[in-house]
Amino acid sequence: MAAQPITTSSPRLASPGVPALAVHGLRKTYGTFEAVRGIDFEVKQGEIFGLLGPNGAGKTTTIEIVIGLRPMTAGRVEILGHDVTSAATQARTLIGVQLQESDFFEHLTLAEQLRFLGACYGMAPDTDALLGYVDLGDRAGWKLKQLSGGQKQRFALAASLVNDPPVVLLDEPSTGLDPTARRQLWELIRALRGDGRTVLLSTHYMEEAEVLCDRVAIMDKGVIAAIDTPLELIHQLVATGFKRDVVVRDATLEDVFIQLTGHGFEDESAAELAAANGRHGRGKKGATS
Amino acid sequence: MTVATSDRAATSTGMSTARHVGSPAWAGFKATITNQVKAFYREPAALAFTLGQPLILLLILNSFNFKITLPNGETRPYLDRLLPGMIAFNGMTVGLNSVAFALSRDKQRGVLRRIRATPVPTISFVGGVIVSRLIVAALVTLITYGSGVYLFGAQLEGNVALLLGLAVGGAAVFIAFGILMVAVSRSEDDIPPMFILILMPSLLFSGAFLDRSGLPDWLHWVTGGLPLTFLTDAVQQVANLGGGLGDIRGDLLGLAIWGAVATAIAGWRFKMA
Repeated sequence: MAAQPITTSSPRLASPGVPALAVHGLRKTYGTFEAVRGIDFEVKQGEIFGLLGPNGAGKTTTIEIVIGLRPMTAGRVEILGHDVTSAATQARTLIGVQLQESDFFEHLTLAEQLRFLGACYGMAPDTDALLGYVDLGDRAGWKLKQLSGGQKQRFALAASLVNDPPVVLLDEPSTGLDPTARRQLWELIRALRGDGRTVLLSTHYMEEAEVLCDRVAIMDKGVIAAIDTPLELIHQLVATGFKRDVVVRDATLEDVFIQLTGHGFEDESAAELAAANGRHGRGKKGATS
Repeated sequence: MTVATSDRAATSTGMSTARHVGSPAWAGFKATITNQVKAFYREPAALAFTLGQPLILLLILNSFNFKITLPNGETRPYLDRLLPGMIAFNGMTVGLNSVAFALSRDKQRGVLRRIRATPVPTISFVGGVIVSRLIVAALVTLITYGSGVYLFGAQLEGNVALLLGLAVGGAAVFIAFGILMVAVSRSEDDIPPMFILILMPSLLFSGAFLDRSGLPDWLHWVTGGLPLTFLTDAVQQVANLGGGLGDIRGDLLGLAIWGAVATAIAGWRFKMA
């Protein structure tokens, strides 16, 4: 497929000055427990923005409020100027999501899953292009259970694009992936920015945030502890006199892992197809892992 | 070896991924019907259970070769009374079974949560699920009726279209119960006990398989209010006695009340995520 950056002239896109995501005074309480304590941040159009924090920091709650899965106690959240509460349908149309605790239908093929989800947005997705983008073009007729973990994550990424969204929200997209599969996913996420899309992603992996994100917000105990570019945050820490207590090595164990096992999608596809052929005697059924 | 890269991946996805086809409400509704019908015929166990169960039951119960007396005093083979009961019972099992178990599983696995994150209204998705089950109920009714009459030789009097309408309408009431079960359940594990709770009294006291005339008065009165009793009585009135809509007004009213109550509570409590 030739490189053809997606045009950003879609009528669904807002004017350049409008933030892709604006969160103001967002609060969420459960009884007396304050999960999110009045946070403010904006995500600019076209950037990859990371939401970081330990478990229980309020990331998931914030994400669920942004996509309308959970009502907020107070505050305002807008996606490209559309309020997620008062203009929920419009806001949801503008955002593509990959959720952690969600799944797809077991009985549908990959192409059918995408068509079904697309219909839920009133859209007919180009399933060939979407599956091709995540290098699952030859798996359109496969079921989800036939895919490996990495392939499932890539499929979930493709599924987040069924509505051709200007804003994509990825909730810990690389959790559970091996280092090679994670790096493959990073490339795909970067490609979204290449389209002119905005990406909001949450992650536990600091390396991932450092490599991918233009800016990050670090949440802790329901508040935003810091928000800036990864480099600036590192500089600020170093300026306080912080010094990392490690020996700098030319390579890490992760480098060894990738060196020994790392391969591209094409290699992976060929290997799994060969395995599937060997296991089932035909190429249609997939390798399950 | 480093991770393989491509120009496409490094710069952009190189695609415009979708085009508009209509409102999320309508497109999602239509897609849900197609999706759910596929779920039915692609699941061998569901297909075998839903379509095979009526045939197996007919085969087994028809082997009890005895006569029964209809309310009008006429003596007929048990099969003639059994077949209407089975048509009613199938409406219940399709409604309860296929909705409660499937929807509950999809909810627990987070499939409904993913759909909830799209702009499709809950009513469009649930409406699509309902219509798909009504299609299945109609199909099962036709198979049961066809095999009972043409394979086993049952003699039914009533209007076939009215019978079909009753079975599908009855299934709609039980679909509402199925959604209600999902709405009030905390997890997938809560569904089987709830299913048994509805199934057992219906199976024993509705008149679908066993004659209600021998029940003690109080039990006859209490179980006369079961939704399957209303449905069975209506189907038997039409199928055995050639009754019309006017003859089954009371049963239809009973079903309508159950349906309205179940729908109201399900609508209030049901959440996709």
